[in-house]
Amino acid sequence: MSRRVLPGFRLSLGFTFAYLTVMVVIPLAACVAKAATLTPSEFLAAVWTPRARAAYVLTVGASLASAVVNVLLGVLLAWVLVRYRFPLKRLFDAIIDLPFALPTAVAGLVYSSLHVENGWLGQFLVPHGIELAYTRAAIVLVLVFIGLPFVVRTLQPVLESVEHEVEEAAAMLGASRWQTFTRVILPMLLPAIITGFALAFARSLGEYGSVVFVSGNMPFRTEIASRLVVDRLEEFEYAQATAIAVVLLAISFSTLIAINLLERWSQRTYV
Amino acid sequence: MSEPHLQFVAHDRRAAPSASTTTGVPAAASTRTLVPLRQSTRIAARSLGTTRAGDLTSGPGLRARATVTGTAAIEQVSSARAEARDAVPTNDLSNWKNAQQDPLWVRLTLIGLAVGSLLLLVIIPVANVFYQALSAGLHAYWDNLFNDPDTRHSIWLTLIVAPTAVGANLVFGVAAAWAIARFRFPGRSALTTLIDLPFAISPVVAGLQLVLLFGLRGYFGPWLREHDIHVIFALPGLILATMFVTLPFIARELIPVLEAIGPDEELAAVSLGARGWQVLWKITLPNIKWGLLYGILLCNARAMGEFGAVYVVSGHIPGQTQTMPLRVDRLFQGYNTPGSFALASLLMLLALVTLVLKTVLERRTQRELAEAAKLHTVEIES
Amino acid sequence: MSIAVRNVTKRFGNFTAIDDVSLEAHSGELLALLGPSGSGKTTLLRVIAGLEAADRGSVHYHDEDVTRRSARDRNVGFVFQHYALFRHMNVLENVAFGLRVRGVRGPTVTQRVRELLHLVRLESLERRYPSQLSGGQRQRVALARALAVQPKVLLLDEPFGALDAKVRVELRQWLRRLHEEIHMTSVFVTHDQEEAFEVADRVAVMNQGRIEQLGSPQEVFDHPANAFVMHFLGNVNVFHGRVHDGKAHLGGFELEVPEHADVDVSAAAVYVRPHELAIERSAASGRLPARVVRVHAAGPVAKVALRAEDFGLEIQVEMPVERLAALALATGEVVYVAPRRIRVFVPEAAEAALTPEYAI
Repeated sequence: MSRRVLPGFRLSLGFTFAYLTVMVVIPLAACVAKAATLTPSEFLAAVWTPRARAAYVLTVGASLASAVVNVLLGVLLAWVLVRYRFPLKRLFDAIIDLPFALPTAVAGLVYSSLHVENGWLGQFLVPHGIELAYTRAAIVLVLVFIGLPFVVRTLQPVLESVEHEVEEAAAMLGASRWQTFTRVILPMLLPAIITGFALAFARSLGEYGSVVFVSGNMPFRTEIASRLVVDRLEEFEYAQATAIAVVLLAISFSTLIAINLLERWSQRTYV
Repeated sequence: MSEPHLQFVAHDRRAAPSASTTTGVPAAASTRTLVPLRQSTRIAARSLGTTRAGDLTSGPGLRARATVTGTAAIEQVSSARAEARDAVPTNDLSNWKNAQQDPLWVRLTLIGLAVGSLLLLVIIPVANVFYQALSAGLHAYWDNLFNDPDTRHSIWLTLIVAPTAVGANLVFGVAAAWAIARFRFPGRSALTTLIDLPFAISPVVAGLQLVLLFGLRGYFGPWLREHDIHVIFALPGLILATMFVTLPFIARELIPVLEAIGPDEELAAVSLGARGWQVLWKITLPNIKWGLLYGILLCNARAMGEFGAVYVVSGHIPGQTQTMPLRVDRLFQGYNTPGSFALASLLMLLALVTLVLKTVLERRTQRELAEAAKLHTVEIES
Repeated sequence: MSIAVRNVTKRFGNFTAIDDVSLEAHSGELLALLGPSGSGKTTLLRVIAGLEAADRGSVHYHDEDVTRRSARDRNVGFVFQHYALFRHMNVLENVAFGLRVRGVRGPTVTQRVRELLHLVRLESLERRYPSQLSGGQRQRVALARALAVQPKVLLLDEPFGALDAKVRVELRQWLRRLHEEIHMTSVFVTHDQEEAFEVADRVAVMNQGRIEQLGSPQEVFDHPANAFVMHFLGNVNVFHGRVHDGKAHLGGFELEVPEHADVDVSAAAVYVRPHELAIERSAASGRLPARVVRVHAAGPVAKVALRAEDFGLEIQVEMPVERLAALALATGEVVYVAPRRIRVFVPEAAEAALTPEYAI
């Protein structure tokens, strides 16, 4: 204590602790307590219905798919924005952050109306059999939008920090441009790619506002797990809703832990 | 190796642009580097100008004469040198690629793909919101926004909920950042994880937690009913839900800023007798102001746009518990597409303004960080 | 294999980094490009490597014109100043990279890599990552990596620039021994004259995008071609005067300069290195009276600062400490300074006229 020359330690820590207790710990505890009122078999019955299983698979699957697309898109966008010069580059760079700033409901609203039969994009796609309204593909698409900034923004600074000497060294050793990219640059970006992927994935897992607009929320087909929680709540099945919520929490937390482990692993050897 | 007593004459020839073209006797220009040293004494003796004020050559007359002949000589010599250089043909570098450059077709393809995907994913949707909002004309747009009492109320409600939540999280963010960045204590990293937790929790689950606590059949439900306090399906619920989902924003932004700035100035202030609040108001907050504003901006954008958590606790009572995003949803479900897009366009405007401010603040925050990092010397010991 | 650069000019915008330079490194030779920062030495090295394109002129390897060939196809070993190791690969993978991208597979790769790691004495560290190596070790990995593809020439950009003084000295002796072992034509860039003189067979002193002098270390040091080289290679006292009839006149003071016998009257600068000045107690012709200002006797070489009041000049003299002890100089005392060896550089008329405008 004697080392704490600066004032306000007790006050700031005390306030932080109290705030977090009230805002985070007690609600989470309530969640767990409510789920604990169910017997194990009741719990299983609530969380392991065919409808719930379909919802988990869709939630995790769509999040994974969108995160994968985001990695590809993110590498492309970060590369182009860091390496090339073209007109309106600063504008394009700035609008990548729009999904951070835009209410997700607005994203859902506009995405759902773009892809209906007479929408701006639907009018070209639907005649070719590409139906993107109220389908699983629509969910993935809107999640790609929601997760867009994560991979780009984690990659950009890393790509900027790659010394040009490293690329020159690869060229001097006889590597082609493609070999330099795949064997030198990409591996250097890998930790950032993993982080970006995980962030986009975690964000997609919890996304609700935009998905309910575009999916149509059909059980077994386009109903995500969060929507199922809301459904159960609206039927006043609190315990069942909570049970599913606990499963969702478990998925989110294990994702977080996996992210941390992956990051530690990928940064352990070379930083 | 400093030799302060040495009689050095400054030889910065870079300060003399023409000097770079004045050395070199035409005949020797291209061969000088290859001529063996001993034969080249004469050429080599063309040296740098080393005359200086107060030197031992006397007589301004001499200097003046030298200047006259010198000017002519400069022209002669420099043009001769340029001639020698220009005699070597320019290389055709049109096919030259440096080691970091991609071929043109690769560049064009990638730029095309990137711009194309941004167009499809971001720009077309943005344009579509405004197009649909205004498709029935400005008058209808105005009507949809301000002549529908429920929509008007939703705007009003959002303007109450978001600033309240942001304000609460601002106080929390400053306190948490101060505790975490300025002190070392057991459980510090656990506390950081706890702050991050709301990011990992689905907003719907966040809303559900509140229902479990404050709902009619929740843990505090009976007590609240007894005292006639409404949390769920009322304003406090909306604020609590928004507070939860936006809790990490300001703290997360401030912790790295405070850490980068370091405690130097605060320690100095304390040593000069400043009290705790004086340190906060006069030293810390002015130092972190841009980072703070940045955190507030992001927190506010999320607070105004929050959907999932408030959806669960709102009860969707038009004119009472519908915030703007919820109202967008309700209008859309009620097939009032123009009305829903009109309100959505307002939220879109908010997002665009946020984006512009963010770009400005980002630059300032980075400068704040860079400047602070340069001056930062003291570390917090563990 | 020899390397020749012919009339190369390289500009970056308005800045001429290399100005019509010609240079040849003989086969098996270790050549140093020595110069201050901004003198164009690194750019010249990068042009030789193919990392920069020459605007004018050509680059030849042996008899082959490689000017238009990209870095990738030149088969040159290049060691970067900051090593540019691949940080996600361990030592083994770094050294093997050049072979792998050429499609070499299997035990040949490992065998060749082991040989090289033996050569650079890093066998025991093959599984380490660059972040786990010291600066000197990284430098040697970079060298092994450059040598792995059996290049025809080896180019090194400030190879010891990022190392601390002690490691520097060790590594440059080691590099010299290595060069004697492999005898590959090598060019290296440095701003440290001691380094260049110790390691290189020949030294090219560069300034302002041009080569001021090319020769063996001994030649360059003993016979600097001009004032720039004189200055760049160490401390020097400068006296200003004029040259007339083969004599340099410094005020009332005269020195014989037979090599300038045909120069009539010109502003001239006389250069004397501090260790080429002797301090005497008695006056004689060709000795300059000066007052002792300061004496530094720490280290093997003593430094004496004097003031020649007739000229308003400060003079620096270096001598062995033994000599200083014998002289027993006292501050403020008047002694006589005798140059043992002088060099006179007569500026061209053109420059003499220009100089007053920006001499400081």
